[in-house]
Amino acid sequence: MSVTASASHTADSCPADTFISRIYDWRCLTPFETYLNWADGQLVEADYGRVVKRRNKQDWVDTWKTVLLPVPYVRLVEQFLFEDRHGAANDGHEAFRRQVYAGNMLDEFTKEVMQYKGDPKDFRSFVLTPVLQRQLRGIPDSYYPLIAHALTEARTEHTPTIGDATTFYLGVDPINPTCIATFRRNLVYIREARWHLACRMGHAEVDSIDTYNWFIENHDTIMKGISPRVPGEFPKFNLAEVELLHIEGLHPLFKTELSRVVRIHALPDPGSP
Amino acid sequence: MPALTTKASRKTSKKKKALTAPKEKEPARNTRTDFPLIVNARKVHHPVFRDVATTLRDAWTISTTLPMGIIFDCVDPCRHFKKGTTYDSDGDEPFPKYKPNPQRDPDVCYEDDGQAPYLPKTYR
Repeated sequence: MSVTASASHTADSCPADTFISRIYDWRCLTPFETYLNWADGQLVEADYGRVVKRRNKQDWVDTWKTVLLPVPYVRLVEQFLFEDRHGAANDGHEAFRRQVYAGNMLDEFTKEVMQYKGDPKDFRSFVLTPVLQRQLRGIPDSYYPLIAHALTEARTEHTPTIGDATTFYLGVDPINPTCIATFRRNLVYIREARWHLACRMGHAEVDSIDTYNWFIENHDTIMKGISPRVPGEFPKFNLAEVELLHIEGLHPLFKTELSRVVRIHALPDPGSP
Repeated sequence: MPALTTKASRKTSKKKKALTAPKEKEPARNTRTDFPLIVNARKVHHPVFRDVATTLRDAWTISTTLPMGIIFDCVDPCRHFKKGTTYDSDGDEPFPKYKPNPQRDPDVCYEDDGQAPYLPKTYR
């Protein structure tokens, strides 16, 4: 780990005033293509830092440290960073709530990273893994009925137990590359992740309120068009999902999945005249 | 100065205490949610670590350095702020503290009452 002082601030312009909820800041420079396609044990660099007052001086200094993290964690960190930044521009209730949540998550994750002293390849986060598990199943963070349904999917009674929760949150390692296909399929149902990827690809602006609300409306469209899963079959994108992925500009990321769908729908129905 | 009570008198007082009927203890209750604790050993089929992925076992091992509160979500994603809440930079806390209704289960998000997620635009 290296510590660098990248900037200094005078007493009048302490950047801590601009941080509404979080203490630590992050910098991620990972290419977005890596976010949904990583190798086993692949680690990427990310920087975290905070503003520290210099002893006996009236100015503050940004201190940064570089850490190696698994790719999915870096994607989530960047998503939370974008949500935190958007909350400063949007005074809507949902943007506000997500901003505070993202800020708290980033702070907790930073504390966890600072405490960890093992091999970076073995690092599994207490803070971000539950979010990854929900994204793996395509379930939003704050909607309890969906989470409860996912917990008890394979059971007859519908009261989640601690065993169900353990299996759901700790049964599968979401950092394992075997989860990539499921991630790519179910990330369509996580509007924050879609919005973050679109921002990262340059199709949306982080500060734009209209774009943020547009993604929420698109999410409603996707959820209305959802169809029940056929057992034993990996579900392909339906037409509403294909259309929205194109409109939102995310189609280059999902080329493989979209090509399968196009191949099916481009062919004429053999039963039709 | 001589002691006011002898050893023999202390013994009799202990016997008297033992003869009095013991107070009935109240059943154990979960103080957080005020729901009765239900323990059903027949529902436990195997050790919980059998359900945990091998790569996640080390991270979720109980240790003295990490708080036990962090099991699944260290930050509550269901936390909703009251509509119209404004950020106050001069206050002790920029946002007012979350105060869930003590009559309700704190683990359940009641803000949307099980209906479809709201559209924030309409709540501005």
